[in-house]
Amino acid sequence: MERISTHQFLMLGAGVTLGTTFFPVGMTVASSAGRDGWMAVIPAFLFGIPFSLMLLSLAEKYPQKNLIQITEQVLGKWMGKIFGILAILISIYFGGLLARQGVDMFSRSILPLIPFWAFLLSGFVLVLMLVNAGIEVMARFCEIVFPIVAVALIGTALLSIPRFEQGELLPFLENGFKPVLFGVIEIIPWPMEFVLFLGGLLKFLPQGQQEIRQMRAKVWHVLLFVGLLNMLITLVEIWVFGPTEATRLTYGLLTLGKMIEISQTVSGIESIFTVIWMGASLIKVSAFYFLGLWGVQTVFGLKRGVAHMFIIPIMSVIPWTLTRGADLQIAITQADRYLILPLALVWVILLWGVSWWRQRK
Amino acid sequence: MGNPTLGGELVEAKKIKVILKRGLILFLIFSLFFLEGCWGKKEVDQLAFVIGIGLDQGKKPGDIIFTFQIAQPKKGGQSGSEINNWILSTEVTHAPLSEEKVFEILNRYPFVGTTKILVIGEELAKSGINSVIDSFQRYYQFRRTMYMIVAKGKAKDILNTKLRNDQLPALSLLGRIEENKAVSSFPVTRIGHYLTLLSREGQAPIIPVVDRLQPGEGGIDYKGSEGGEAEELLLEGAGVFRVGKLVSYLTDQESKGYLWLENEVGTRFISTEEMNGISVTAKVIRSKSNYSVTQDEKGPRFNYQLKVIVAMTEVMGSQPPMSPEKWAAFTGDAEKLVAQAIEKECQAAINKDKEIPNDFLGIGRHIEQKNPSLWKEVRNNWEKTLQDLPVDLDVEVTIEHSGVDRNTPVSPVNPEGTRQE
Amino acid sequence: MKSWLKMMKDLTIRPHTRKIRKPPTLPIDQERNKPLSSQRIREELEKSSDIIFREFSLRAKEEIPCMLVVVDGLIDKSILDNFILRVLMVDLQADPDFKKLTQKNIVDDVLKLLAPASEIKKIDKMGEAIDYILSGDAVLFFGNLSEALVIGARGWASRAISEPQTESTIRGPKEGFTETLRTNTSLLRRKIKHPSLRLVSLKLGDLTHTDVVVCYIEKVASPDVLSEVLRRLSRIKMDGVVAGDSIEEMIEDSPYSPFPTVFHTERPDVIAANLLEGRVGIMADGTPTVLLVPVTLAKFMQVNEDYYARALIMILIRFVRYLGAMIAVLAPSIYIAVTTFHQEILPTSLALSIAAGREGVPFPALIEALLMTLTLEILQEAGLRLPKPIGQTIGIVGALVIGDAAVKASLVSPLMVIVIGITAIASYIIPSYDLGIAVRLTRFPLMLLAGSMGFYGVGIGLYAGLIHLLSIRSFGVPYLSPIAPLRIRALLQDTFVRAPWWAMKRRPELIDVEDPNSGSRGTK
Repeated sequence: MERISTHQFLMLGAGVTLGTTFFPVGMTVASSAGRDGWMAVIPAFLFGIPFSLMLLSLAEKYPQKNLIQITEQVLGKWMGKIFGILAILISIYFGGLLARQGVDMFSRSILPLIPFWAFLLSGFVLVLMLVNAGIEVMARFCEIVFPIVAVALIGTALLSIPRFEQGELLPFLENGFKPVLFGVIEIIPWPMEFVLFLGGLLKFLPQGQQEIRQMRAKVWHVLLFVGLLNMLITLVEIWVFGPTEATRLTYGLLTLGKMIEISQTVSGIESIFTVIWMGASLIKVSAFYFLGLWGVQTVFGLKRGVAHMFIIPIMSVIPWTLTRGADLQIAITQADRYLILPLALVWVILLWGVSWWRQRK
Repeated sequence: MGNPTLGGELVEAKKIKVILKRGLILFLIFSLFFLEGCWGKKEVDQLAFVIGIGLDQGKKPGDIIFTFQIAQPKKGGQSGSEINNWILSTEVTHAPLSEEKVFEILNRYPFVGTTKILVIGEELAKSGINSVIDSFQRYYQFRRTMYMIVAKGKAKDILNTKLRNDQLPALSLLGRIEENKAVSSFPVTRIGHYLTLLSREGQAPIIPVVDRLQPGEGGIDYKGSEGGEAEELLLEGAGVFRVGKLVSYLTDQESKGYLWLENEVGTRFISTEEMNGISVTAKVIRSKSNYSVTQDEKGPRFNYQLKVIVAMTEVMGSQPPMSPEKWAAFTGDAEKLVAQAIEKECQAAINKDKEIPNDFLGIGRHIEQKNPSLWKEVRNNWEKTLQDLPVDLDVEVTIEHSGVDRNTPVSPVNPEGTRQE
Repeated sequence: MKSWLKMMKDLTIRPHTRKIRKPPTLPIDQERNKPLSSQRIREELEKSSDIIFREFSLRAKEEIPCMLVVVDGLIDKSILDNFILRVLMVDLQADPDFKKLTQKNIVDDVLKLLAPASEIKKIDKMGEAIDYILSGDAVLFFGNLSEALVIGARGWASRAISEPQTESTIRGPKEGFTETLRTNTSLLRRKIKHPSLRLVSLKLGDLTHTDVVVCYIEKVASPDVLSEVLRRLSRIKMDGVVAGDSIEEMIEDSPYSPFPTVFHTERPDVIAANLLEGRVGIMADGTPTVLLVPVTLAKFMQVNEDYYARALIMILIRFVRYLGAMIAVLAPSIYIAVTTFHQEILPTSLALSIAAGREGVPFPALIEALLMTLTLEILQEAGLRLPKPIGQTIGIVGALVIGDAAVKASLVSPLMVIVIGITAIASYIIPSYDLGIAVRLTRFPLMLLAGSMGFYGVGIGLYAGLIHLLSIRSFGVPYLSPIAPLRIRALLQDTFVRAPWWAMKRRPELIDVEDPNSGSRGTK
């Protein structure tokens, strides 16, 4: 029975939540909220906290079960299967989209001529390796890679200080709080991705009382820290580029990286940065693959090998179906907004609500 | 600590895992052969490193003359990289097509990742650069940190100047711009900064100006070669852009005023006018400018506050020997002199700002920052409002030290030969 | 076809999980449990010329024919002559009490009376007799009795205790293990003088009957690890264990990973230190190398010297070591990736230098790098075999002259030579030979990946390697502990930096030790 420790929970959660959100965050937030967009980031991530806590309390009541199994128990077998199938389909679809996004970034920038099947193939091999090795290895992977990503982000932010345009952030709240609210709504699906992943992860969490208490605190840490990192990036992007430019640049962080000059010798460390992006993308895609895998195993009771056979073809086909970068952006935003957000909201609230109501009786 | 690898018995599920693993390995080995392709791979010696690009208006309307300044490594040689200078100009309708055209002459691939300077010819600047600029920040290889310069005349000529030390003009300009904080005599604009400014309502971007210098011009003399071609480049003053078009020039004094007011002065020398037969030259150590927006019965007022810390580097004119108290008083006077000199430059910039009236000082932007509700009122007619806006200036100078001397060298004897008091 | 598949299947099963094969049956092996008989012993062993059968008679109450069987070369002849034969044939004969003994209880009586021999035992099985004789003890047969006495008289030519060549240090003890098991165990005993140091013996190898000793400290070593070690050792069925190093392959966790999961050393102080941390050691007769399990990657980057010099200095040196290891793995790949795909990273003047250097070189950077690395490997391997005086010269000659000539002939660019040189030197910074080889191996796929997909390829290689390392365990301990899973105390104490001795108050919980608190290393 694989198990992860509370610290691994922290790192795994942070890795999956941060995922690749730090790339589009500047553009997304600046376009919906303008100059004050950076204020919208942390509240959006904090929105995921009540849901995660609800999931944790469900885990306490139904130990060693993942969300689909709990649903089967609380709402009945068929509801469980329905939610399970929804979760499977959405995770696999989204995983495919994210895989394409990872590749897209490379094609736009540093390696424009490599055919994208080469990217996908090699990237997929990595995903399979990671998934095959199990969730424990994945947690350890995040333990190593997430701090590196965090350091790289903070480093980029700090090294961009010479490029700050003075006073670009002022005036604060020029248009009141409404734009910030729009920004928050735009990003809310992102912590929900973590909530869904947590649903599948429940099976592997430690059981002890003390550990559960620790995990409650760690959930706060995860969402707060990731929110902070994203806020930092957004802040820096707006400060360097101004809100209009930040909206235009599709991968603002990459451009930031390109602008870094360290004592006129080292410049253009963005290539190194892309390797880090690859790791973050790997974590995110693997997370959704895991979700799909757990779902298939729970709902259909398939053994691991067969489950893999099921998921791989679907997940590999999806990136092929979108060839235009512009379509990809739209697809991801729509999937986030109309698939992940509602599923997470409805599922968690319903489950927790019903379970709590029953307990009260 | 349940460990799945301790003590394994062969189970059916493991068989599938093993087959998968083996299949994966075989596949990987084979795929390695396919991955040997050369997508996007370029060897270093196939590249032509473009250091500077010049843009001019072409003969046909809408055409652009692209000038590439390329650094070409000399083969072999003990001294590492000596570079040859290659310059090519092509005339195209759209900027990226120039790359294509260059291939018709050059056997190398023009690599623009090393481009550091963008020189824009005067004519092109006047007819508008915004459309041309697009490819320079969309195409990934360009850097947003490229410096922009406006050339008096044609950019082609600037880049074709044969400098006396054989350096590439682009590199020479680059060197000066990068050291600008130590001299602070002209503003520096990167393309990123330009684009950010473009999206601001209350500020017009400025770009420094470069010109070819004949011996004897502009107060600088050098021994030129026969033929009379200018062999040095002068960076002075700036051009003001409005919606991408060059609309006016700033003189040296005005651009220096801009530097003071926009807090971009590093260190520089500033000399004062004469008072009581004495004039002072000071070296700026630190300079900070602040601004504030106030309202009075006549309407809004804008106020610049400048705090400058300097060190005295020269006192011209003779003085009697002074005691420390007298010296302190003298220092106070000197501070006022320096403040006056700074004010003069700043005032020149402010006047120009109102006159053009393109707000290159960014007063509008500052109002937006400090008082957004006021800005909402005035933004629609900003340029007109700017002309009547009272702008105050407070300059405060502190002389930190006066070098290694106190008063000037003094002789006890008068010029007439009698003893001094 | 079917047998082919079967062979493939066999290859992929871990050795220690294979079904136990029946051992080869030699005639003598069938007789192992039969009772002793001096006749049969003679029949079995007389074909070898180095086995001595010394027959003599004891005159007790009756005349008892005795036979002493020894192997010439394995025994200490002076013990034999002076203390056994003399006592038996001369001294005892002179003892009047001796005359009263009969053949029936001669064995027990001699056992009690043969005082000068400190090691003496009674045996009654053929197998035991053969083992002892061939191990170098003297076996004394009495007439037709099926009991015999074994007298310890071992002594053979062996190497003196000297400093191991591959693990020399500036400070610290300089003793090294030898090929004799008993000497090795004695060296270990001298380091740890507590009764909880346990040495468990086994014999491995059907034909070699090699003595193997498993050493551990009770209450410190993890019982899970210990039982697993013993289990895997007992499942080894080989004809011979000629060198203890072959045991490593039979018990390791990941035979297909290039990374070693079993540590080995020739120094008793290293063994002792590791036993104190809870590891289990495996010594084999005939090999000075001792194996240690379980180990993590960090262990292979540590040198015992780290612990003898002062902490602050060693922190810097360790940092340099890790940096060197990274360079050894990544330098050629990064060179290839940067110069062929990502030239924008290079500062302009460097790019110009590189371009100048590459003028006229016929190969693309990838081929150039591969050629140079292969040449390097050839030189390294050849250098191992050359006799010492020539070896040094070839190393220098090979590097400088050939490299220089290659540059002049425009075969390679000068920067490539520098990169390869730095890589070569950096790979020697890795203290462990096994890990060094793993590093050299991983360089090649990384270079190929870099050459085809630039930094993306390097990233893929690195992540694949990372995932692989994360999934390996060594006897239950994850290979990349204490970084992942994170164990802060162990991380701070002994991985990248080393805490000074006075700060290491508790044992690092790398392995689930039974008694972590009592391992106080700090000051009282």
